[in-house]
Amino acid sequence: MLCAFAPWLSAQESPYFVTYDHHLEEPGSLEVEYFSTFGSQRGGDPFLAPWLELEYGVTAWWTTELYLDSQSTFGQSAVFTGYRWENRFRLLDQEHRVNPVLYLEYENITAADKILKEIEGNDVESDFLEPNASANRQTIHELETKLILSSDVKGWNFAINPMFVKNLGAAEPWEFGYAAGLSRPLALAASPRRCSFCRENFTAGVEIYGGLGTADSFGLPNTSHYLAPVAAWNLPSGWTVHASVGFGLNNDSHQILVRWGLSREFPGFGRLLSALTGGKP
Amino acid sequence: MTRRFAGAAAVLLSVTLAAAAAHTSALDRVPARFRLRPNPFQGTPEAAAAGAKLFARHCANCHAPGVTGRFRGPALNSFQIRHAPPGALFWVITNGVVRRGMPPWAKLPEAQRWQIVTYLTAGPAPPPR
Repeated sequence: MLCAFAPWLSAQESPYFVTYDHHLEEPGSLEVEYFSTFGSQRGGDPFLAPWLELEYGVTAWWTTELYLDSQSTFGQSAVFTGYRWENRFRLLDQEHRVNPVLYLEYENITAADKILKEIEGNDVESDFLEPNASANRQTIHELETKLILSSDVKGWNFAINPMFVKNLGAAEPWEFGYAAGLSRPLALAASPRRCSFCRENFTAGVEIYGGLGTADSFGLPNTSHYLAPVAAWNLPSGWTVHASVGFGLNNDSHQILVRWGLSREFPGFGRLLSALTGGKP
Repeated sequence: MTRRFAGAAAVLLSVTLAAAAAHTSALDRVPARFRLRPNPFQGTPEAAAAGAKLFARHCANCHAPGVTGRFRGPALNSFQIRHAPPGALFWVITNGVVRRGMPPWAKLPEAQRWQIVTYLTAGPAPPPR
């Protein structure tokens, strides 16, 4: 009865682009994700910033992820802007009303990075006016930490991520930011047939994110904030399509951030890795 | 001859009981109040078929018979699983067995977790489509 094993299968992916919920990658699974951000730019050229994520479930309580960032500013150039190494650790074994996950990320990027995966400190739209040629020469080493607090109630997910960022290469104060999201599948029960367009395959929601200043100047002045409807379409073939349109909430924000992405999970990757390294297949 | 047969039977029984214990140990830790939760889809063929689809999509990579490797979970087509309290199965699916490699599946809506329970506790079910 259980011989229905398929070599590729899919998981239920979160629709969020910036907010994290507490659900980690399944152990042994590799998820390959391609995302892109298109941003408007007042006083300058709009940009398209694609990035690749390789997300691996090391254990049921630890997920590690590598990001490769790039961007193309219209009328200027296309540049590789660095990498990020992210780790998320589930702090409690079982599900609770609120589930905490610790997030630690090391970033080695340049000032030309525009994926806007997080907004921190006093990040504002005018920071992105610097031409690629000079911005891509300024390297930034950052430690980014988050406490992911997430809850699932009656099909809804609610998550909030306070963020604390330290520039390791400069004597700058800690920077703060936040992200919060709310989402729900369009149908809670699954239909008995395999289908691409069943409502259960679609998840929709909204997220809000922005900066909160620094340890020296905590607060909302000179910060940017966004409100973004989000959606994900989980296909039975294992692919997930993601989309979001973010709207700037003040004059220091980009007016619009359009994001989209495509991801695919490879659940047998851990076994393949074990076999290739001489372990038990 | 009879003694040899009895010895072999004892070994077989021990192996069976050990396997059963391994399969049910996660279920043994389920708090009593959750065991008693009724399955809202109990006996519904459509829910079992939906559960079969969800099982193939989310669970079979680790729990299919014959799956080997570092992240292999036990096959779930056993007598113990079929006759486990539905509430206990639901609790294990929801919370996982994190220290032993099974992630919590609370990311699936509650109805879908119950559909998987319905599939696991149903009689012979059609293969997922």
